[in-house]
Amino acid sequence: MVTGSAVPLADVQRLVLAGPGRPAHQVTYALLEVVDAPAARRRLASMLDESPGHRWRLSCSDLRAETVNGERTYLSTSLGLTAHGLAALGVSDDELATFPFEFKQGPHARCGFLGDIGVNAPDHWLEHFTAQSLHRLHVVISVWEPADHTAGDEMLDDLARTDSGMTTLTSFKGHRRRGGREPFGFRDGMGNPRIAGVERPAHARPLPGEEVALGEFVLGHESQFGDRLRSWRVPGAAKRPEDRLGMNGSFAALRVMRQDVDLFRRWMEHNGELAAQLLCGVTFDGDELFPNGVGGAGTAALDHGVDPICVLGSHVARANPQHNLVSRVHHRRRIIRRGMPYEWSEEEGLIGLFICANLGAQYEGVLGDWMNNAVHDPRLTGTSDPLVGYQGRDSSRQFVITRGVSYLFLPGRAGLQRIVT
Amino acid sequence: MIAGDGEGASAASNRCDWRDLPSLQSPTVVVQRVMNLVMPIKRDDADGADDSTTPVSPQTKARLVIAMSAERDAIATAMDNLGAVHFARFNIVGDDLHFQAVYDGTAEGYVHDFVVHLGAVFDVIMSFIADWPPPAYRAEHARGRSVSVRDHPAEFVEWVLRHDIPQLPRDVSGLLRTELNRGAAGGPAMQGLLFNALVDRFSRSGNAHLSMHRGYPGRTVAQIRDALDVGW
Repeated sequence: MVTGSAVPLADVQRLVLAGPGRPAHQVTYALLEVVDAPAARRRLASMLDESPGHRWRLSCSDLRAETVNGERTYLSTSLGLTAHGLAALGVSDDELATFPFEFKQGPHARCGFLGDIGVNAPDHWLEHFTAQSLHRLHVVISVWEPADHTAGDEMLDDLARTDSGMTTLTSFKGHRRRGGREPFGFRDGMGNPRIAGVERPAHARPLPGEEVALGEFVLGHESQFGDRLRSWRVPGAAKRPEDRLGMNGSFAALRVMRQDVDLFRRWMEHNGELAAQLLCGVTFDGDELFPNGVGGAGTAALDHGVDPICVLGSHVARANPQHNLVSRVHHRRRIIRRGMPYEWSEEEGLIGLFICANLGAQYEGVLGDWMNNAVHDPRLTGTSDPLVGYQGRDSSRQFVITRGVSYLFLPGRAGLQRIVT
Repeated sequence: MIAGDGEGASAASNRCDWRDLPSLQSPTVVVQRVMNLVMPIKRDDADGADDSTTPVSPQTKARLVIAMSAERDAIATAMDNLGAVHFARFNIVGDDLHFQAVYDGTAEGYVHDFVVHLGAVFDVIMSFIADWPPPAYRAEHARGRSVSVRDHPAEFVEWVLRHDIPQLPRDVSGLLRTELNRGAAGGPAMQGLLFNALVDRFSRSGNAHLSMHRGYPGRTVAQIRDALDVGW
C-alpha cells in the first residue's frame, strides 16, 4: 500500500505513484480524437464516477481507495491529454497559455536534439504520430491489467459502440514477457524512484537510490531544489495553484520504440555477450556489470579488459549519471518509466510512458543533453547512447528506432473534473 | 472550456499554433548554442513612464549599470559554476539590455540552472526590465510585490526564449522547405516563395540571428577545459 500524509494520493493517477501493480502484465493504449466536445467531456467525466463496479474509473495512487469488496482491483486506467486534446475539449486559450511551451510545441518541433532524426525522424513515424495527423491525436487512455483479463478489449469495444464523442484512431497492446525481459533480453525494471513521503509496503523490495522530491513528478509540490526554487508551475489560470486544472497532474512522453532484435543478436554474436551488456550498462539480469562500481572509474572494468569509458557511456549510466559534472547543479532529471514490450506482426519493441513534472528539463534533458549528445561529460561529448540513441550513418548499430512520440498531460482527478465541466 | 460547445475539433485545433516559439528541429545546435537575449529597459518616472517613444534616460541606464556592477562577483562565480557557458556578455544597445552568450546544452536545462545560480542577480536585473513579469503576475507586481524569477522558473524560461532573437535556418532554403511543409502552395516561383517566407517570418518577429562562425565547432566548454587542464 502506498501511504503518505502530505501526498494527495487519492488525486494523483495510480500509474504515476503506485504504478500499475505487479499483476499488470498487459496494457492497451487507445489513441482517440475528440469529434464531439460535449459528449467527450461527458465521457471523460464518467471516469470520475466513484460508484463501485464502475469499469473505466481513472485509477488513483491511493490503493486503499482502489479496492472493491475488500479486494484490490487489478485494473488500472490512466488518462493522458495532448495540447491539441485540451484545446479540442474546450479548454480556453487563457488556460492553455499557462502550459509549458515544450508541451504545446510537441515532439515534432523538438526532434532534432532528441535524436529523432534520420531513421528516427517524425516523417517515418506510425501514421497517427506524423505531422499530418498530429492535430487529431487528442486523448490517450491506457488500461493496465493481468495477462488473462480482457478489460482493454472491452474498453475498445465500448468506445466503438457507444457515443463517446471520440473516435478511436488506433490502439496498441503491450505484454509483459517471460521473466520480465524486454525484447533484447534485458530484465526490464520499471523506473520507480523512491519518492519522499510515499511509503512502500513493508513486504515490497526497497527501491535503490536516493529519495526524490514529489514535485519532480507531481505538479504543485516541492521539487528537488526545495526552497531555493519553487516547484514547477502548476498550469491553469486560477490564482491559487490548488484551484488550477494542473494541480496534482504530471506530464509524460508516450514513446513507441521499435527494437531490431535480429540486428542486436547478430551484433552480439559478432562482438560477444559482454559487449552487448556493456551497451546497456547492466547484465541481462539487470545487475551491475562491475559491482565495484562505475564511480570507482571502472577499475573492475579494467580487470576485464574493458575501457572504463564504455561503462560511463552505457545506456544506464547516461540515463542516470552519477555526477552531472558540467553544471555544478546536481540536476538529477529523474523520470518515472512505465514501459511494456509490444509484439505486432511485423515488429517488436517497447511502448513507454516517461513521466515527469517538466518535459523540457527532465525528459528532454535526459534524452537530449545526456543520451544523444552527452554534454554532461567531456569524455563522452559528441557520442550518443549506444543502445537506444541515434547512431548517425552507422545503421549497423541502430538497434532502436523511434516509431512515434506524443507529449501528454496526465491530470489529477480534481484537474480532470475542471477540464470536463 | 466553455468555448468548446458547438465548436468542431478543427476549429479548436487552430488555436494550437505555437510556431512563434523557437524550434529545436535542427540536430546541429546542441553544442555552442547562441543566446541573444534582448530585454527592453524599463523607463522610470523621470523618463515619462509609459511613453515608449521617449528614449531611456542616461540616468536610468546609469542606475542599471551600478546595480549590475554590485553583482559582478556573483555573476562571474555563477557563470563559472554553470560550466556550460563559453562566453557571455551584457551590452546596452539603444533602449535594450542585451545578454549574449554561447553555451552548451538545451536552453531549457540551461535557463533552469541559470535560475538556480543566478536567480538573485536576475531579480536585480529584471527590476529594470519593462515586460517582466508575465501578464499573469502584473497585478501582484503593481501592488509592490516583486515577482522573483526563482518563484517562477518555468515562466522565466519561456520569457527568456521569447526574448531570444530566433536564429534563421543556416540554409535559408530550409526555411522555404518548412513553409512548403506547412502547405504553402508550390509552384515555379521559388525565389518569390522564399521572399514571402522571409517577409512572413519578419512580420512575426522583426529580429533575426543570422549566423555565427565557430572557431572550434562541436567542442563543449567542458572538453576545452578538460584538454587545457583548467578543471571542469
